[in-house]
Amino acid sequence: MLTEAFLGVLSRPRLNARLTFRTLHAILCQMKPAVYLTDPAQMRKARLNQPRVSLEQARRQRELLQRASEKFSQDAKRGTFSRGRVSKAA
Amino acid sequence: MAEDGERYFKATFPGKFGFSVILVPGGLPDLTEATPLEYMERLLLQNTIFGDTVLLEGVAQEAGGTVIVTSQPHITGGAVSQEEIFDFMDRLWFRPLQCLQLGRPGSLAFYRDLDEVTAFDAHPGNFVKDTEGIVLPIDLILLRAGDELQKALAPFLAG
Repeated sequence: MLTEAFLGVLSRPRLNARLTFRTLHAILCQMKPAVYLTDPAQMRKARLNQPRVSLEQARRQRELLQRASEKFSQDAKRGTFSRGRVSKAA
Repeated sequence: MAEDGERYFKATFPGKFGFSVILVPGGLPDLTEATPLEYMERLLLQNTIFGDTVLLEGVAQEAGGTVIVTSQPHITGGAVSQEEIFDFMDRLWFRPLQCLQLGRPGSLAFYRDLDEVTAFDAHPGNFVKDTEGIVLPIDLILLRAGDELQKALAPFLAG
Protein backbone atom coordinates (compact mmCIF):
# COMPACT_ATOMS: atom_id res chain seq x y z
CA MET A 1 0.00 0.00 0.00
CA LEU A 2 2.75 2.39 1.01
CA THR A 3 4.77 1.37 -2.02
CA GLU A 4 1.82 2.09 -4.27
CA ALA A 5 1.44 5.55 -2.75
CA PHE A 6 5.16 6.19 -3.15
CA LEU A 7 5.10 5.09 -6.75
CA GLY A 8 2.04 7.26 -7.25
CA VAL A 9 3.94 10.31 -6.07
CA LEU A 10 6.89 9.45 -8.32
CA SER A 11 4.66 8.97 -11.32
CA ARG A 12 3.07 12.43 -11.01
CA PRO A 13 4.05 14.93 -13.67
CA ARG A 14 7.22 16.78 -12.69
CA LEU A 15 5.52 20.16 -12.96
CA ASN A 16 3.16 19.28 -10.11
CA ALA A 17 6.05 18.18 -7.92
CA ARG A 18 7.80 21.52 -8.51
CA LEU A 19 4.72 23.52 -7.69
CA THR A 20 4.21 21.54 -4.51
CA PHE A 21 7.79 22.12 -3.45
CA ARG A 22 7.55 25.85 -4.13
CA THR A 23 4.32 26.16 -2.22
CA LEU A 24 5.84 24.25 0.67
CA HIS A 25 8.93 26.46 0.54
CA ALA A 26 6.81 29.61 0.74
CA ILE A 27 4.89 28.22 3.70
CA LEU A 28 8.06 27.15 5.51
CA CYS A 29 9.55 30.62 4.94
CA GLN A 30 6.60 32.23 6.67
CA MET A 31 6.62 29.71 9.51
CA LYS A 32 10.33 30.10 10.17
CA PRO A 33 11.01 31.90 13.47
CA ALA A 34 11.86 35.52 12.84
CA VAL A 35 15.47 36.60 13.29
CA TYR A 36 15.97 40.24 14.23
CA LEU A 37 19.33 41.72 13.41
CA THR A 38 20.15 45.09 14.92
CA ASP A 39 23.63 45.67 13.49
CA PRO A 40 23.45 47.31 10.05
CA ALA A 41 26.65 45.50 9.04
CA GLN A 42 25.01 42.14 9.79
CA MET A 43 21.91 43.20 7.88
CA ARG A 44 24.10 44.20 4.94
CA LYS A 45 25.82 40.82 5.04
CA ALA A 46 22.44 39.07 5.00
CA ARG A 47 21.23 41.19 2.10
CA LEU A 48 24.32 40.42 0.05
CA ASN A 49 24.16 36.67 0.69
CA GLN A 50 20.79 35.94 -0.81
CA PRO A 51 20.22 32.96 -3.10
CA ARG A 52 19.86 33.88 -6.73
CA VAL A 53 16.37 33.60 -8.10
CA SER A 54 14.86 33.43 -11.53
CA LEU A 55 12.73 36.27 -12.87
CA GLU A 56 9.70 34.02 -12.47
CA GLN A 57 10.48 33.30 -8.82
CA ALA A 58 10.99 37.01 -8.17
CA ARG A 59 7.69 37.80 -9.84
CA ARG A 60 5.84 35.26 -7.72
CA GLN A 61 7.46 36.63 -4.57
CA ARG A 62 6.29 40.14 -5.48
CA GLU A 63 2.78 38.80 -5.91
CA LEU A 64 2.94 37.06 -2.54
CA LEU A 65 4.02 40.28 -0.80
CA GLN A 66 1.35 42.20 -2.67
CA ARG A 67 -1.32 39.81 -1.43
CA ALA A 68 0.03 40.04 2.13
CA SER A 69 -0.15 43.83 1.94
CA GLU A 70 -3.69 43.77 0.63
CA LYS A 71 -4.77 41.46 3.43
CA PHE A 72 -3.00 43.70 5.93
CA SER A 73 -4.93 46.72 4.63
CA GLN A 74 -8.22 44.84 4.62
CA ASP A 75 -7.67 43.74 8.22
CA ALA A 76 -6.95 47.36 9.15
CA LYS A 77 -10.14 48.55 7.50
CA ARG A 78 -12.12 45.88 9.33
CA GLY A 79 -10.45 46.88 12.59
CA THR A 80 -9.16 43.38 13.24
CA PHE A 81 -5.62 44.37 14.16
CA SER A 82 -4.44 42.84 17.37
CA ARG A 83 -2.47 45.87 18.50
CA GLY A 84 -5.01 48.54 17.70
CA ARG A 85 -4.55 50.94 14.83
CA VAL A 86 -6.97 53.61 13.79
CA SER A 87 -7.91 53.57 10.13
CA LYS A 88 -7.54 56.75 8.15
CA ALA A 89 -7.45 56.70 4.38
CA ALA A 90 -4.22 58.26 3.11
CA MET B 1 15.34 42.94 -12.20
CA ALA B 2 18.89 42.31 -13.34
CA GLU B 3 19.43 39.13 -15.33
CA ASP B 4 21.74 37.75 -12.64
CA GLY B 5 18.75 37.67 -10.27
CA GLU B 6 20.59 39.62 -7.61
CA ARG B 7 19.46 43.23 -7.85
CA TYR B 8 16.30 45.13 -8.61
CA PHE B 9 16.36 48.26 -10.69
CA LYS B 10 13.88 50.91 -9.75
CA ALA B 11 13.00 54.09 -11.61
CA THR B 12 10.94 56.89 -10.13
CA PHE B 13 7.99 58.17 -12.10
CA PRO B 14 9.04 61.22 -14.14
CA GLY B 15 9.02 64.27 -11.90
CA LYS B 16 8.03 62.22 -8.83
CA PHE B 17 10.32 61.15 -6.02
CA GLY B 18 8.14 59.24 -3.63
CA PHE B 19 6.74 60.79 -0.50
CA SER B 20 7.85 62.77 2.50
CA VAL B 21 5.95 64.10 5.50
CA ILE B 22 5.02 67.69 6.27
CA LEU B 23 2.76 69.44 8.75
CA VAL B 24 -0.53 70.57 7.28
CA PRO B 25 -2.57 73.51 8.64
CA GLY B 26 -3.74 72.40 12.05
CA GLY B 27 -0.32 70.98 12.83
CA LEU B 28 -0.97 67.39 11.84
CA PRO B 29 1.56 65.37 9.82
CA ASP B 30 0.58 64.26 6.34
CA LEU B 31 2.21 62.82 3.25
CA THR B 32 3.45 65.09 0.52
CA GLU B 33 5.49 64.58 -2.61
CA ALA B 34 9.19 64.43 -1.80
CA THR B 35 11.89 66.49 -3.46
CA PRO B 36 14.79 64.68 -5.18
CA LEU B 37 17.01 65.55 -2.21
CA GLU B 38 14.49 64.12 0.27
CA TYR B 39 14.29 60.96 -1.84
CA MET B 40 18.07 60.58 -1.80
CA GLU B 41 18.17 61.17 1.96
CA ARG B 42 15.54 58.46 2.41
CA LEU B 43 17.69 55.98 0.48
CA LEU B 44 20.74 57.00 2.48
CA LEU B 45 18.87 56.34 5.73
CA GLN B 46 17.79 52.95 4.37
CA ASN B 47 21.44 52.09 3.76
CA THR B 48 22.68 53.48 7.07
CA ILE B 49 20.04 52.15 9.45
CA PHE B 50 19.00 48.92 7.76
CA GLY B 51 22.28 47.92 6.15
CA ASP B 52 20.92 48.14 2.64
CA THR B 53 23.06 48.74 -0.43
CA VAL B 54 20.80 50.90 -2.54
CA LEU B 55 22.91 52.34 -5.35
CA LEU B 56 22.26 55.41 -7.44
CA GLU B 57 22.50 54.07 -10.98
CA GLY B 58 21.67 57.21 -12.88
CA VAL B 59 19.47 60.21 -13.48
CA ALA B 60 17.51 60.65 -16.69
CA GLN B 61 15.65 63.59 -18.10
CA GLU B 62 12.38 62.53 -19.68
CA ALA B 63 9.52 64.51 -21.16
CA GLY B 64 7.55 64.26 -17.92
CA GLY B 65 10.47 65.29 -15.74
CA THR B 66 13.53 63.91 -14.00
CA VAL B 67 13.80 60.17 -13.33
CA ILE B 68 16.09 58.70 -10.66
CA VAL B 69 17.26 55.12 -11.27
CA THR B 70 18.50 53.05 -8.34
CA SER B 71 19.26 49.40 -7.70
CA GLN B 72 18.79 47.30 -4.57
CA PRO B 73 19.63 43.68 -3.70
CA HIS B 74 16.80 41.21 -4.11
CA ILE B 75 15.80 39.54 -0.83
CA THR B 76 14.47 36.03 -1.28
CA GLY B 77 11.76 35.04 1.15
CA GLY B 78 8.20 35.63 2.25
CA ALA B 79 5.92 38.07 3.99
CA VAL B 80 6.25 39.23 7.59
CA SER B 81 3.42 39.52 10.08
CA GLN B 82 2.33 42.68 11.86
CA GLU B 83 3.87 41.38 15.08
CA GLU B 84 7.18 40.81 13.34
CA ILE B 85 7.18 44.38 12.06
CA PHE B 86 6.57 45.68 15.59
CA ASP B 87 9.25 43.38 17.06
CA PHE B 88 11.84 44.28 14.44
CA MET B 89 11.33 48.02 14.86
CA ASP B 90 11.27 47.71 18.66
CA ARG B 91 14.69 46.04 18.72
CA LEU B 92 16.07 48.98 16.80
CA TRP B 93 14.53 51.36 19.37
CA PHE B 94 11.80 52.63 17.07
CA ARG B 95 8.65 53.42 19.02
CA PRO B 96 5.24 53.05 17.37
CA LEU B 97 3.30 56.19 16.57
CA GLN B 98 -0.15 55.17 17.73
CA CYS B 99 -3.13 56.11 15.63
CA LEU B 100 -0.98 57.76 12.98
CA GLN B 101 -1.35 56.17 9.60
CA LEU B 102 0.20 57.65 6.49
CA GLY B 103 0.44 55.69 3.25
CA ARG B 104 -1.24 52.37 2.61
CA PRO B 105 -4.35 51.74 4.76
CA GLY B 106 -3.26 50.14 8.02
CA SER B 107 0.41 50.94 7.52
CA LEU B 108 2.41 51.53 10.68
CA ALA B 109 4.57 54.49 11.67
CA PHE B 110 7.53 54.68 14.06
CA TYR B 111 9.87 57.23 15.61
CA ARG B 112 13.35 56.80 17.08
CA ASP B 113 14.45 59.64 19.32
CA LEU B 114 18.15 58.80 19.42
CA ASP B 115 18.64 60.07 15.87
CA GLU B 116 15.19 61.66 15.35
CA VAL B 117 14.35 59.33 12.46
CA THR B 118 10.76 58.57 11.55
CA ALA B 119 9.63 55.57 9.51
CA PHE B 120 6.30 55.52 7.70
CA ASP B 121 4.43 53.13 5.42
CA ALA B 122 5.47 50.01 7.32
CA HIS B 123 3.41 47.07 6.02
CA PRO B 124 4.15 43.53 4.78
CA GLY B 125 4.85 44.75 1.25
CA ASN B 126 7.79 46.77 2.51
CA PHE B 127 9.50 43.97 4.45
CA VAL B 128 10.80 40.52 3.56
CA LYS B 129 11.54 37.61 5.88
CA ASP B 130 14.36 35.83 4.08
CA THR B 131 14.94 32.09 3.83
CA GLU B 132 16.85 32.15 7.14
CA GLY B 133 14.02 34.01 8.88
CA ILE B 134 15.87 37.33 8.93
CA VAL B 135 13.45 40.26 8.83
CA LEU B 136 14.59 43.04 6.50
CA PRO B 137 12.81 46.26 5.55
CA ILE B 138 13.09 47.16 1.88
CA ASP B 139 11.14 50.34 1.18
CA LEU B 140 10.05 52.37 4.19
CA ILE B 141 9.53 56.12 4.01
CA LEU B 142 12.35 57.39 6.21
CA LEU B 143 13.18 60.94 7.20
CA ARG B 144 14.79 62.93 9.95
CA ALA B 145 12.16 64.84 11.87
CA GLY B 146 12.85 68.52 12.44
CA ASP B 147 11.79 70.24 15.65
CA GLU B 148 8.27 71.05 14.43
CA LEU B 149 7.59 67.53 13.21
CA GLN B 150 8.96 66.07 16.45
CA LYS B 151 6.50 68.19 18.42
CA ALA B 152 3.66 67.12 16.14
CA LEU B 153 4.57 63.44 16.53
CA ALA B 154 4.91 63.54 20.32
CA PRO B 155 1.19 63.00 21.03
CA PHE B 156 1.23 59.85 18.90
CA LEU B 157 4.03 58.19 20.82
CA ALA B 158 2.84 55.41 23.08
CA GLY B 159 3.22 56.27 26.76
